[in-house]
Amino acid sequence: MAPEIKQRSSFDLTMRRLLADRAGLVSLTFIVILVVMAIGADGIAALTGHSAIAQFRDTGLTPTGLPVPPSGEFLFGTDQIGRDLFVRLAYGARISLAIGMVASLLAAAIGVTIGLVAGYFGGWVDAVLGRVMDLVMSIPVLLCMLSLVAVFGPSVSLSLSVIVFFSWTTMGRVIRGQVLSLKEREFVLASRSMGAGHFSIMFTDILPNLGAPIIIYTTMMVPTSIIFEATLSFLGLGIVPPAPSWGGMLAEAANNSIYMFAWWLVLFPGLALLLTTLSFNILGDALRDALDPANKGPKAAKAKKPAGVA
Amino acid sequence: MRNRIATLAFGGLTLALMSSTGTFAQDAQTGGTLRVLGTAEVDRFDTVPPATADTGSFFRATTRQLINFAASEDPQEQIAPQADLAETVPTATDDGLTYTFTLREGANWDAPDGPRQIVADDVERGFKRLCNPFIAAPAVAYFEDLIVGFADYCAGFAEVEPTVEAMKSYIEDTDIEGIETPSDDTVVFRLNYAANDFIYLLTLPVTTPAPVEVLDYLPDSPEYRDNYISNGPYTIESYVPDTQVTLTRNPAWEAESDPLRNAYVDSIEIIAGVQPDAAMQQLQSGDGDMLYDINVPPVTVQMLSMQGDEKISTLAEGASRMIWINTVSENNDGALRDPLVRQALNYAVDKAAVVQQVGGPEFATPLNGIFPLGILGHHEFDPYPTPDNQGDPERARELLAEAGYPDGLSLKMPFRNAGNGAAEAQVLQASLEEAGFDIELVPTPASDFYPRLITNFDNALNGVWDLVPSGWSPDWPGGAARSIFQPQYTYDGTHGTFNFSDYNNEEANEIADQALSTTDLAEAEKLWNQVDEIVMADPPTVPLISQTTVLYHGDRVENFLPYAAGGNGDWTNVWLNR
Repeated sequence: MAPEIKQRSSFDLTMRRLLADRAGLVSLTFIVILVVMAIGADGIAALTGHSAIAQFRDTGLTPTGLPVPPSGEFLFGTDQIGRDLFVRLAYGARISLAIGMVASLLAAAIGVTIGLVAGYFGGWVDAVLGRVMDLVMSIPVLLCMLSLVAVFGPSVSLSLSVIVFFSWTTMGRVIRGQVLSLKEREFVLASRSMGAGHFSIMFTDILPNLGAPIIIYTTMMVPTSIIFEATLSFLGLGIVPPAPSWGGMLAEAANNSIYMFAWWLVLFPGLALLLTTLSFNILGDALRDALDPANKGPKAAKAKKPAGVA
Repeated sequence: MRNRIATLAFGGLTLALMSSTGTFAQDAQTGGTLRVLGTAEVDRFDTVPPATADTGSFFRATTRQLINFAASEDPQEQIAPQADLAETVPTATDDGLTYTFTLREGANWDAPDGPRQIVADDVERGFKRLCNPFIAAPAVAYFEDLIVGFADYCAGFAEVEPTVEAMKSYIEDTDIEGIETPSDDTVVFRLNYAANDFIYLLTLPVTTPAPVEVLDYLPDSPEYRDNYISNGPYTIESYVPDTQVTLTRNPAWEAESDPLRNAYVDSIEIIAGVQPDAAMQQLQSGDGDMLYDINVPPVTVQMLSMQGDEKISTLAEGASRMIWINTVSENNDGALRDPLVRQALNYAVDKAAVVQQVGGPEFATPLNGIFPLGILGHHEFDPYPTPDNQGDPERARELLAEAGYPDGLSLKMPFRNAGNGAAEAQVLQASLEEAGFDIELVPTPASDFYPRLITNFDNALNGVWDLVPSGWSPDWPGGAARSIFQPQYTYDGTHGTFNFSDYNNEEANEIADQALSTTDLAEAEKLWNQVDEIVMADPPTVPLISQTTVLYHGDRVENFLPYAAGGNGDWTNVWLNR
């Protein structure tokens, strides 16, 4: 009996390939857990009875002001002013993820638009936009941020703007390169010969073909943005205390040598940061493999089943 | 199914128990290089321009004043004025208006043409440089009205162009009426009014005599530094900006002429750019000997005491922390001008929490007035009592409501984003918010906090800040109530750098004047107590804590005696055991 042959959609195929990648699956699971933790931060606070900014000066600190190690009451211990580290990590996840996602999406939108326009029109438009990208890439980021904060004072929106401003260029370059080759393809010529306008060609013909790089690079930008936010907060230029952020928590641990006594102040936020960025990077890799099986490298050669056949 | 075993591995801190080697009855050893570690470099070589308090240790090694303090472990001896360039500590004559000093023989300048005796004219020249128009000493305010004719002298100097030639000729041609030099070894100070802390004022590094050669350079200019003329036991051998200052023995200094400094080590290296953690590690490993501008982190102290380290000592310098309240801005329609609101702030703050934050009672005590522990004028009083100093949010809310702010107030509080600053600010925020104040914290880089934000009066006027956590150490230890009261709590029409919102109270000023002029120290103390109570009745600040400085040093340092005016061990009295 001939095996049943089933038509599978492209999305379906991608998901199947993605789920077959064990590393990708683990990362995805971690990210899902993290997202749940971030969304449920209020719930965690309610469960433990500790808000993110409540200072437990009796139970969370020794009489001489030292934080207490992980225990039943404080799962991950307390920080230097007696706040529950676990609850702060959960709220910190909220800020890290929010900034990571929002910044990457915004940066992707800008990068795609500019890359598309530059690649499609070419000529002086490309030259000008190309130089703009070069300019942005050549600005020393931290120095620029330091001066901005000195003028405007640290805030979430400022951090976000800076991250977006400095991270869209990678996406812009990639997209521009892709568009340069896509616009010479037959379907674009066909569209043009049928009288389609620039706008229509860009958005209905070219853009859908850019799906894979956009998804992959946006995912890869998330960890970069998270690290960027953590760096800013670590330098005291990002999230304003007492709001928790992972970078800020690490900075507080580094302050006054407190980490030499309280290892948990470095371990947990550091681990959170490490695992999150690692997960997003692995997920990005897995997405690339799943979206673009042709470009799978040595692993692809081993694939036994032809794509699309179960 | 697997059994889940929750293993809680709390590796208790591995406490390296160090066997303490007996260091009793060791003889003083001469020689070696003392390595002093700091974050910032020595900011001033010249005693005239404003310098950080840490520079006191440097000035101790390279300059001498008429009066100074002994390095000692005894808190009383630490703050007892001793004769340095003067032969003896004189008592005032003429109802406290005249002080006559005899200079010690053998105290020399390391002048370019060989050792030269320090004479009375040098002492007067030191005072003459204080109000130079190029860069004046803030401490001149202590002397201007006090010494006869000094105010006139300074008024004249203000008219002079700030060039080397103009300033030199003014200094050489103009005399200060109240500083007389009848002979080379006699200086007579005449005062406008009796001041019982005049002897203390003469311990300030700004009163260092000046040799005639320094008039050829602008104060603390690169030329001044290149041609540095020391009169202490050490002089500058080399200086690499932002990196290191190396001191070597001053050949002109004679040990017999100096009762306070023993100068055991041959040279002193002051190394800049070391972070606190690294410095503490270097001290523990023996790569460094002493700290310059680095405060020993409380956590480290607690870990060291757990390890049984005996090289920890404490020093009460009269340092305190407080919150300054901005009464000059239009924020919240000037709500902070209402004494009720400021009293509410005083009730709201949890001082016990601040003490706990800085490491507990060993490091700090709650403070309720402007004069901290260790200052003549400090007394136990509590105008805004709260249970166990933990704050009384209910009382604060009542007062706020009474003042017309039942829904609380929104206040901006910048903080110095370094060391304990962020933790302290958040602790304060927590207790203030409980009392109905909505506190917006503004992290400010340490390098901007004092120079650009707080001491710039425009920022106060424009309402850039409503509250600032701040600290104060008097310019000299002991009888230093004036050095706390005058710069911070008096206003004579000219804005003072450290009176952040032009606070002034005539009643307090009058009593302070009496306290300064009486010769009876017990009475002076009572009067200062009154000043404290008057100021706190209409509080311009929320006093937080009296601080104790914790000192630490490396293993090879012996005879580590605190020098109160430097806030650290005395470089000129330590010796190295290897």
